This record gives sequence, structure tokens and C-alpha cells, in this order.
Amino acid sequence: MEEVEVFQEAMEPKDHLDDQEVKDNHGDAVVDKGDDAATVNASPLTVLDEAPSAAQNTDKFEESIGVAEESAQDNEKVELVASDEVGKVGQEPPDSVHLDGVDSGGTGREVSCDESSNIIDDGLQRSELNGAQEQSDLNTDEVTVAQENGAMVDVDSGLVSEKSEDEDSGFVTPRENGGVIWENRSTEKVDDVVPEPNTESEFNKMSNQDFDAGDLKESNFDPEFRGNNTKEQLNASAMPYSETQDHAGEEVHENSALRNSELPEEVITDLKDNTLDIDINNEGTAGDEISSSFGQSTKCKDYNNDDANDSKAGSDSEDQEAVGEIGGTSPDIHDAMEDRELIQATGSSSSLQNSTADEIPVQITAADLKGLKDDQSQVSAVDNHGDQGLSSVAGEHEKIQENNAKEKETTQATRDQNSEVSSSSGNPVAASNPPVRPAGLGRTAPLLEPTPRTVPQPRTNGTVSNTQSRQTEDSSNGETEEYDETREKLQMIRVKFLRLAHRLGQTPHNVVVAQVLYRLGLAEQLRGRNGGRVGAFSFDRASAMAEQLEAAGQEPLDFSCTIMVLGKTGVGKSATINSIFDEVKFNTDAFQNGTKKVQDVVGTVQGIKVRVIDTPGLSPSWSDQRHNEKILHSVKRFINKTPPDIVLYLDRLDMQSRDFSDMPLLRTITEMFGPSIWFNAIVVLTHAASAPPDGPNGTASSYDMFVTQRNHVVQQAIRQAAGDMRLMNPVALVENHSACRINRAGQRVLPNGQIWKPHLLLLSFASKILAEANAFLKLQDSPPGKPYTARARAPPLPFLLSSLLQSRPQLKLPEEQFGDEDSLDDDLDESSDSDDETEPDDLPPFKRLTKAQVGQLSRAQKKAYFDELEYREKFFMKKQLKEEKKQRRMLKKMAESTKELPSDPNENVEDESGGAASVPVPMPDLALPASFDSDNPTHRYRYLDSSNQWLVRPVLETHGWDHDVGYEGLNVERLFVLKEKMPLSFTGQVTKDKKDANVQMEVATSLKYGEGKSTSLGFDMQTVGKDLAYTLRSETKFSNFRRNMATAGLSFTLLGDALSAGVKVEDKFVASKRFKVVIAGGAMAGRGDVAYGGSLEAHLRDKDYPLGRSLSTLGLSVMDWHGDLAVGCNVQSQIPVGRYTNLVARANLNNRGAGQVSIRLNSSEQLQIALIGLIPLLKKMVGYPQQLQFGQ
Amino acid sequence: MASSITREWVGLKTFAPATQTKLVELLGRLEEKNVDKLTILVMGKSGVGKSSTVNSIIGERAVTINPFQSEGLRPAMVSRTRTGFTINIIDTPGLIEGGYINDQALEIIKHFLLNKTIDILLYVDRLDTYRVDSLDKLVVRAITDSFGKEIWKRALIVLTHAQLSPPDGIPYDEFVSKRSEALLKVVRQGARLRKDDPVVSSIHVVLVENSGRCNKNESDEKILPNGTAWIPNLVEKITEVTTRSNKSIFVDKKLIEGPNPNQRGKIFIPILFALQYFFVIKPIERAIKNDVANEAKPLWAIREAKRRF
Repeated sequence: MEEVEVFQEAMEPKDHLDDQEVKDNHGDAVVDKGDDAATVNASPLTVLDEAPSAAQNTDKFEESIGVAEESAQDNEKVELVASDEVGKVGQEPPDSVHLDGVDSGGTGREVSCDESSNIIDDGLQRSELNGAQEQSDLNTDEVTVAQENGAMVDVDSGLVSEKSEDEDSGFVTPRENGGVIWENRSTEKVDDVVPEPNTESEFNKMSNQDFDAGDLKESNFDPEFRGNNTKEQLNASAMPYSETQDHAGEEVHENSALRNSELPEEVITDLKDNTLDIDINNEGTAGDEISSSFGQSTKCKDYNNDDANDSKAGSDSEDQEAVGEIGGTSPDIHDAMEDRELIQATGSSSSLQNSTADEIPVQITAADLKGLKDDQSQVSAVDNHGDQGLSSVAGEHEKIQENNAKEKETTQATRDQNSEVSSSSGNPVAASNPPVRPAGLGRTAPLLEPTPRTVPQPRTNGTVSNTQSRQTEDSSNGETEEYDETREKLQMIRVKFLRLAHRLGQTPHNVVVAQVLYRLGLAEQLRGRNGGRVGAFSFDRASAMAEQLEAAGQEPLDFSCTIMVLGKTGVGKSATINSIFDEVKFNTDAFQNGTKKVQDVVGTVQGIKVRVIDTPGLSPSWSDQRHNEKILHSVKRFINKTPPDIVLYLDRLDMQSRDFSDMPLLRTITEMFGPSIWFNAIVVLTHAASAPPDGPNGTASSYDMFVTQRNHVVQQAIRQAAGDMRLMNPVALVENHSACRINRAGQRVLPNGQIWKPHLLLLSFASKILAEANAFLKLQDSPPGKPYTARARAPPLPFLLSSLLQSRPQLKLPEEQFGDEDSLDDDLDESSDSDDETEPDDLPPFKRLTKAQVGQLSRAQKKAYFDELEYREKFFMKKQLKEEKKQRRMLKKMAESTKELPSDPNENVEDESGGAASVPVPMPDLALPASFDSDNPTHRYRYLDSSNQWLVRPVLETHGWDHDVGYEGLNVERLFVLKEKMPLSFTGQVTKDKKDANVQMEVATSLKYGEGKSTSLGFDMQTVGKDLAYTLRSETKFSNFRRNMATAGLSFTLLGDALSAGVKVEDKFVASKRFKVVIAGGAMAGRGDVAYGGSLEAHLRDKDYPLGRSLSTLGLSVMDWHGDLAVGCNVQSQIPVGRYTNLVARANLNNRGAGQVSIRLNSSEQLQIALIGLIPLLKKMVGYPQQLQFGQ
Repeated sequence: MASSITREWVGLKTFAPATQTKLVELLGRLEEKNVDKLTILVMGKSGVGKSSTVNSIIGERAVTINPFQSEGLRPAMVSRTRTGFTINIIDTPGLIEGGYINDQALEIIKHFLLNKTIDILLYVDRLDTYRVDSLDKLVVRAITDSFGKEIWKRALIVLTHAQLSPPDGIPYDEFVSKRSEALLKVVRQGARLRKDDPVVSSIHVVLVENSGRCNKNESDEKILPNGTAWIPNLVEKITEVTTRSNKSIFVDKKLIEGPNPNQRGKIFIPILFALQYFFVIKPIERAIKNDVANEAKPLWAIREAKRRF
């Protein structure tokens, strides 16, 4: 999102200012170039020839610029309009962008302008395409080089595939397709270099036409340049996401321009110095290039293009300086240097090509002539190069040499050099190939992280440079280094598996192989959440590697598998083992238990080390389970030392045991080894060549059906035995019979054409491989339910904290019970009492009117009457209250005085209440929810109000089940008095509905000592989920000032086996009679986990509180747990409007943006208002739901 | 018997002509012996091919079979008549359920067979199962316990899936004989027969191949790998056993429910009474009399006696 915003900001200036500026700058640059070029320019004639094409090119180029702008603008629009979308793009650019990128890339610009995301993607995609192009170019170069030294090819291609893989994140199929295409192309390239440019141009036609024309050209020249170029472009195009993207197009131009200038330079130097100096020059140019890229990047920051021009102008010293700088900054320069070396070679070759075509001068002259329109010149250069590039790259060295033969003297000289280069292209380039690899890796970084996220960092740092961005990418690599390592290991696993598959003669398209690879990929994705993109390329690379390793046949496969065979007696365990090894390892006898004890055998199958543990046969009968246990015990002992990687459970395919007759056996196995044994088990059905039985209609069922059915039966039995219905064991078929059909290769073939042995082994190995990967990724399947319990164990700290933070009223003695909430209020009231006191007796007599009389009054009279009435009512109530208060105070005093007397307050109370209601009175029936049940069950739940100290009530749950009277529990309450001054309350509640029972018990006591100080102690017990939570809490209250009361509390909770402790501080401030604030804060810790919380509560009451109805409350709560901050706010206000109208407004909001606003208006005055209620109803009916409540 | 309507044995016509003639001849032989009714009980583990065997003998799909589903618990009787000769074949459900003998199924079978006569028991198992296990023994024991040892005198062991090529290159006949031996041993053990019991040696083993893929000879008879046409062979063996002098097993209540516990040991009751009378009651009476005689009377009794007199 941030990026998006920045982007928006940055977008605006782009279109106008910078374009011009850029053009100007370009002008300078090109002029410079022109100057440089002019000195070297050999054939001005061709200028004319090339001019028209240049013009065309300019058109194209302008077009492309236009598109770029357009896209940029659209981007802007998109930002404004659909910021969400863009946000998404910004947040997860690699995926989403890629997704669209391929599509839009294919269709081209016209379409892309319409669709918001497409455009955004366009840029990226282009850059990616460029990148890809670059890669492919790189690849081709490498390939050409590597054709000579074969071993490197694979590595490089592997690298390339990795790059492309990095580029394409694995999920999206279109991208994958693209990737595949890429792959194909690269492989094609490996085959022959010539078609490469074509495919390339085909593939990214559009990107070439767009601002990447320069690219192509450069690609022709030398891949390294392109590399930088594209990198820059990447930056540039990535910028749209970050900030500086206004210059995206512009920069690209710059880049191309610069490169153009550089290239000529280079060429020039080549032409100039036909000697060995070329190396140096090339170095220089390389330095130039880097510096220029530096310059550019810094420029694009400062909008200072002149620097670039200067640097371009070819002052070597400056360049070297720049290089020096770079050298200081990062090791990447080494790469750069290496690149330069490569450039040397390739650049020279390109220069040769150029010289042969005589087009460079043309370009330059074109630049000269059309000095004003730099763009055009650039473009022309670009296109010429592009055109030439197609041929030149296509052209191999021989061709170049041919061309060279037609050259002038100067070029002849260069040709010497050329020949030298070409001759040396094998060696030096090969030598420089290893350097290419790190460079390639370095380059993968930007591709790996084409995310705009990383790009802004250098921007904000203030230094923008390729190397730096590289550096940062490296650092980001460092972050993901661990992940990379993981990936590398996974890749190794993949390769290993592919090699295994290869040895077993299975293609990667085999279902099992594909599945394993998919799961590996999935695991990888799960593992590397953030940077984790897995491409189909890791597979391709792996397969290439595997093939190569297998072809070489040198590297031993580091893999061994231990297989244990379990099963009923006589199903062919030993025979299967013999078949696996193709020799008689164990004696078998059809009629006797061949295997008497557990034994293992080690052998190699297709060069893979396999160890098989054979076990004696088990018996299916219950009566034999003791025997089975004995056998399995010995098995257990045997495998203690070397646990098997995989367990084969054997059964016969042609046994129609449909009655779970193997259940006892399976149960015993499960008991002995635990259900986990089945997680790594393969069901093997022997006698697989047996014919399927006749179906119910007499015709033979199909073999596949037979296998499926049989598998289902066995699987079901295993599931039942293991108690895990999710088990899905792979199935393998086995036929050990000597008469089994055999194919030409001597492999046993099943009736369905399957060659079973490799399949079985592959399944086993796949399990092992996956287990390996799992162990490596620590993605072990957690047994079901375990995470849940683990979660349940962690104490729900926020919940405990909030219950701790609740302010509880202090417990009071029975005689104080009727006192006001806190004495503070009393005092305040007392003080205020005298003020607004007007003697009610002073008022004139007032007579209430009957309804009829009221009806006769005029409106004004009516109003006056009602006002008077209200006033009187209020007054009357006030009076009553006051009297009550007085009475209370009297009672208090009396109680205090009676306290001196030795009387039991308990008795007192009893007497009191006994006098009033000594006879138990039936309590009114609770209103039960309306039900369709005819029987009215209320009478069953009547209860009495007795004078008993124990207050027992039923708990009614109105929202219960149908046909269920809601009485679900019992509530017991009692207040004791300990030692005459310590109240002790007991509250207990037990509820039980059809599902769970809840117990809640609370014992609280408090001790008052001194004035305004008291300590309360409480013990809670309640069910939380399936556990009981025991809480012991203590609170001390002291009113330090008259209007302030502070509370400190402690609490300990034992939930399950987790003990958590909490502390709280609370302060209650009563500002006036009307305003009260309670602030509380606390922390709860348990199991090394801490939650902090705080709450604020403010009340604003009506002036005359008990009478006035207006009340406003503000509640604010903050909770911080695990760094997860939850802020909630609650405002409620009740305002009486007029006599009969009440307005209640309530709003709450939390920091997640969820909230609720509700406004409620109560009125008994105007019944018509109720009609308002019809509006939403009507609206709803019309189809526009409008609710009074907006919630989320 | 009432459970199924007796129908004409049309399935006989479906057999190959050669088989038909053979069967007719065999049936004629039975008729010679004045056997006009033959009841065959088919028992065995589940999934071995009992129902298929029944269908094969009858020559039509009389009993539904499903290779992948367990049949119900009810036995089924198939009756066919041909020229006054009635053949009843009682197909039973598999006796094994989850590693146990299914007692419920056994009870149902027993009650189904109440008041029926079993002429022949076909104990069915598969030929291509290499091993015998305790489950086989359990089945045999269950049969023996239900119908008595005598039933084995009229039993045939039927091995289905006979069309196989034996493993490890064992010759077919050797394989069959080995398998038969193993099964006979199981029967002997399960039925608690002595080793040299002539019953064991008298049990024939018949091979059967119910599959539609069964090989056929030139006269279109279904044959076994050793060349015998198995349907006539089976019927022949059945005839042979039937015509043995052994009497058929009549399933009555006694057989099903075992001896009536009320009747058992009745004969000992008078003896027990006598023993009780002489060795328990008599001594006690004697002891009492003795006691009474030797009793030292309390003072008040003496006084009373004195006063009276």
C-alpha cells in the first residue's frame, strides 16, 4: 500500500516535465556519442541508406514511448481508481503481476491499456521479459561457449532455468506455461544457436518493439551489456512500483541511449585499437557502462542526466573512479569485472559484426544528422542493431569472418583481432564462463526479487545504483539465504528422486513421480512463505541434472531404503522379496511357514541399496493373536536398531475377504506399532496376475475394477484398524508367480500392463523421499488433534486479563447491603443535597386531571399541564429518594450502634426477613419461550421464595433446543458473615445442556480496615472449554483522596496445567456527581507469554441522576498479546428527547476496522414514527437492503 | 423345504452334452438305490466360492453372488427336480466374521436345517490358498459341533479355484495332494478325529473351477488343468458318498440344541435318593434320637413332670 501511495505521488510529474528533460538530456548524450562516433566514423554513405529505416524506427520508438507513458498514466489512474487492486499488486507483485504479465505480454499493448492491472503488469512483465531475454541471451552465449566444453552447459542451463524459475513463481499456470516455453526455447538454443534470435523476437515481439528495442540490439552486441541494461530496466520498470517510476520510460530511454553511446564507444575503441589494447578499452567501456548505469541511477534520483553524459563522454578516469567506488562497495564488482571480461570477448565479436555490416557508423551518423531527435537516432541505432543483431547473433563466427573478409583495412585489423577473439572465444570465454555463473547468480537476485519492495530501500537510502541494488538484493538474499539453502537441499532431494525414477526406468511423467515432485514443490512453497516461489523449473533443472548424473553414471546415488514386509501368512512376503532382488534370498514353501523368524537381507536393485526385512506370517484368527503379538514383538525388537523407511502390508489380490476377517491381525499390528505405522505403509496386493472373479451377473469384472474393489476392502480394513479414516495408503500390485507374463526386457508385467517391480520400488522410494523431505522441512505430519490440544493448553491470556481488569464491587456486610454503591456518592449527594432543595410543601396544590379532562384542554394548556405534571412527578420522586436516603443513613447509624451489642447479624437478618415472609411464597413462573409443545411445563419448575439463607434459583436458558424447556441449571447463592465483619458470599451455578456441562462457582470475601481501605479475596472456579479454570484473586482498594479510589489486584489462574498470573492497577476518579472515570491497566503472564491490557471507562450522568435518564458512557480497551494489538472503543449515549422520547446512540469500533453504529429511538408519543420501521422493510422488498445497523 | 418352490432342473440342459449324459447316468445310479431325494449342504469360509459352486452344480444362477460383498446371514436352499428325483442344495453364508466364528450365522443355519436330512456335506475351500490356519480349524470344529462327527462320513472337501498353475514349479497333482493333505489334517484336528480314523481317509477331495474362464475340452466340458471334467466328477463323488451304507444325518432338535439338560442324568436320581436316605437322613435321625435319649432335662421340666404326677 505504501508503495502504491508513493507511486501515486511520483507518478504525477512524470508525463510532462521529465519527458522533455529526458529528451534534452538524450540530446546531449547522443550528441556526445555522435562526436565520439564521428571521429571513428568510417562510412558516412550508409547514413543515407539507413535514414528511412531510422525514421521508421523512430516511429516505433515513439510509439513505444507513448505506450510507456500511457501505461504509466494508466498506472496512475489505476492507482487512483483501483488502489486496492494495485495494492495487491504492490504487495505481492511477483505472483499477481506475473499472472497477468504473461497474458498481456502475449497480446500486446493495445489490450493492456484497457485493463488496469495489465498495464501495471506490462511494465514489470516487460522488464521480466527483458530479463528473460537477457537470460536467454546469456544462455545462448554460454551455450555457444559451452558447446565446446560440454559439462558446463548443463550447469549453465541449470542456472538459467533456475533464473527463469525465480522469475516465475510456481503457482500460476500461464506463467508456468511461459516458463515452459522458455525452457523449451533455451533447450532449443542449446541445440542450435541460430534460431535463437528469432524465437526470442517472436516471444517478446512486443517488448522488443517497446522500449526494449535497445535491448535487443544490445543483446546482439553482447549479453553482458544487456544484462546491465535489463537490470536497469528492471529497476526502472520496477520503479513504477516504488517511487521513481515517473522516469521509467525515460530511464529506459536513457539507458538505451547510454548504451547506444557506450556501444559505439566500445566499437570505436575496438576499431581504433585493433591491438591487444582492446582488452583494456573494453574494460574501460565496461567501466563506462557501469559508471553510466551508476550515473543513471543516481541521475534518476537527482534528475541529473548530465552526469551520465559526462560519464559517458568517456572519461576513463571517472569511470575508473566509479569502478573504484563500486569496488569498495560490493563484491559484485568482481562479477562486473568478470562480466567485463566476457564483454571483452563478446563485445569484440559484436564489434566485428558491426564493422562487417558497416552499420554502426550509420547509426552514429544518423545520430549526428538527426542530432535534434535523439530518440530517433537512438531508435535507429537500436533498430539497426536490432536488425543486424538478428543476423549477427545468428551469424556465427565463421560468418562474421566472412563478412570481415569484405572489410576495409581497419576492419581487417579488427578482423585479426576478431579471429583472435573468435579463436579465443573458446578458451577465454570458457575461462570466463565460471565467472559468468556467479554473475548469473548475482543477476538472479534481481530477478528473484523483482519485487518493488526491495527496490525502494536503496531509493530511500539515497544511493541508487545497480551495484547497490544488487547489494541490497544480496542482503535480501542473505535474509532468504536460509531458504535458499533449504531450496537447494530440496532440489538435491528432487534430483535424487528423479535419479531413482530414472534408474527404475520411470519417466518424470509417471503419476507417482509427478505426484512426489508436486508434493515436494508444495512443501517448498509451504516452507518459504515469503520469498518462496517454486517454479516448474526447479523440476526441469532437477531432471536435467538427474539425467546428466545418470548419464555420467559416476556419482554414486546416496540413497538406501529399508523396507519391512508384513502380512498374513502365505500371501507371498518372502516370495515378493525374492522377486524384488530377482534371486532367491529366502526359501519359500507354498504349504509351510517359510519364514520362522525376522530376518533382513541387503541387496542392490538397479544400483540402489535396498534392505528388506522379512517377517513371519501373521494369522488372521483372534485366537492366534497371542502368537501374532509374539511375532510382532520380535519384529519390534529387530527394527529397533534399524527402523524401516517403509512398511509393505501384503495381502492377496484374489482373496475375497469381505468380512473384515483380517481385522484382528490389523488391530494387533496397530496395537503393537501404533497407528503411525500405517502412515508410511504401502498396501501390496500379491497374486496380482490372477483373473478377476465373475461379477454378479456372471460376466467377468474388469481387472481394474477388481483391483480397485479389493484395494478398497483392504484400505477400509486398515482404516478401521488404525482408527484414522483419512488414511490413504498407496497400493502396489505384485505377482511372484514364475508363470507371470514377462515383457521383452524380462520384467514381469501385470494383466493391466504395469511392470510391477519398478512401480513398487518407486512407491517405496517415493515414501522415503517424501519422509526425507518432511524431516528436512520439519513438516512432520502432526498427529491429528495434537495442535488443537497444544493450542488449548496455552492459557487464553486476553480472556483472563479482561476478567481481571473488570472492576468488581466490594463485598458488603448485610447491614450495609442497602447502602449505595460507594459511600463516596453518598457524601457527594449529601453535600449537594442542600443546594437544590426547594421545599415541596411550598408548591400549590395540584390536582391530577382525568383523561377526558385532558382531552378537553387546548394544546397550550395541555403542554403546560404536562410540564407541571412532570415537574411534580420528578419532585415527588426526589422527595421519596431523599427520604429513603435519610432512612438509610439512620439505619446505618443504628447498625453501627447495634454493633456494640452482642447480637448476631445473621439472626437479625433472619428475624427481619422472617417477619416479612416467614411463609414460603411461590415465586412467579418464569416466562418460557413460546413453543409448539402442547404441554406447558412451567409448573414443574415452580420454586418457593423462602426465608432460607440459601437462595436457590433455576437457570433458564431461553435460547435452547426445540422442545426443551429452558431450565438447564441451578443457581445457589448465599451470603455469610464471618466474625461479624467479614462478608463472605458464595455463588454457584451448574448448567448442563445436551452437549456440555458448565460449573461456575465463586467465593468472595472482603475485609475492611481503616477508613476507605479494604481488601477482597475471591476464588473462582468455572469451566472453560473442557477444562476447569481455578482463579484466585485479591484486590485492595483504598481511597487516597476524596474523589479518587485506587485499586491494586493480583490474580492467579490455573487452567488445565497452565498457571498464569496477573497484576492490575485501577483508578477510579469521581470528578463530580455526574462524571466518573475508571482507568485500569494490567498484565497477565503465563507460559512465558504476556498479555497487556488497559481500559478506560467514563460515565457522564444526568444532572439529577436517579431521575434523569440521560447517560453517556465511553469505554476504551486496549489489549496487546503476541504483539497483536487490539483496540476497542465503545460509546453509548442515552438522551431523553422530550417527554416520551428516548434516543439511544451506540457505536463501537475496533482497530481492525470492524464496528457497529446503532441509533435507537424510543418514542411513545408519536405512533406514526413507527411507520419509519416500514421503510427498510419496503426497501428490502424493493431490493435495496438498508439497515439501521451497519455492521461488519 | 417350504422355503423354496421345487422347480424343474432346467440347468441340467445347459451343461455340455457329454456332461449331461454322465450326469443322467449318475442320477440313474442313484435311482437304482431308491434315492429320490438328495440334500446337499454347502459350508465353508466366506469368499471361497460356495455360492458359485452351488450355481455350477445346478447349472443356473440360482444364488446371487457378489465377489466384493458379503452375503446375508440367511442360508438359501435351491431345489430342483428331474423325473421324480429331487436335488436340494443348501447354500450357507460364510462362517467367519472378523476372525471369529459367526455364531449367529451358525445358529441360523442350524435352525434352517431343522427337520431336514443332510445327505452330503460339501466343505468348500480354495485350492489356491497355500496355507491353512486356525480359522479353518475353527470352521471345521463349528461344523462338527453342530452336526456331530458323523457328518464327516458324508462329507466331501471341495476345492474351488482349481484352475491354477502351482507356485515354485510344483506339479499340479502334487500341489493338489499337498493342499488336500493339509486340509484333511485340519478336518481331522477340527473334528477331533483320531489319526487313524477311517473317516478321514474316506473323505474325498474334489476340485472345482467355477470361473467362466474355466478351460473346456473338445466336448465342451469344463475341465481342470489335469484334464478331468469336474462337474461329472463332483456329482460322481457325491453319488458315491450317498450310496455308501452310512445313513444320512437327520437334523433334529436334539442335534441342534444338544442333549436336553432336563433328561440328562435322570437315571441317577433314585440312586441319589437312596444314597441320601441311607447315608444322610438315617444317620441324622439316629443322632437326633440319641440326643433326645441322652438329654439332661432342665430343672423346671423335671419339676413340671413331678407336679403332674
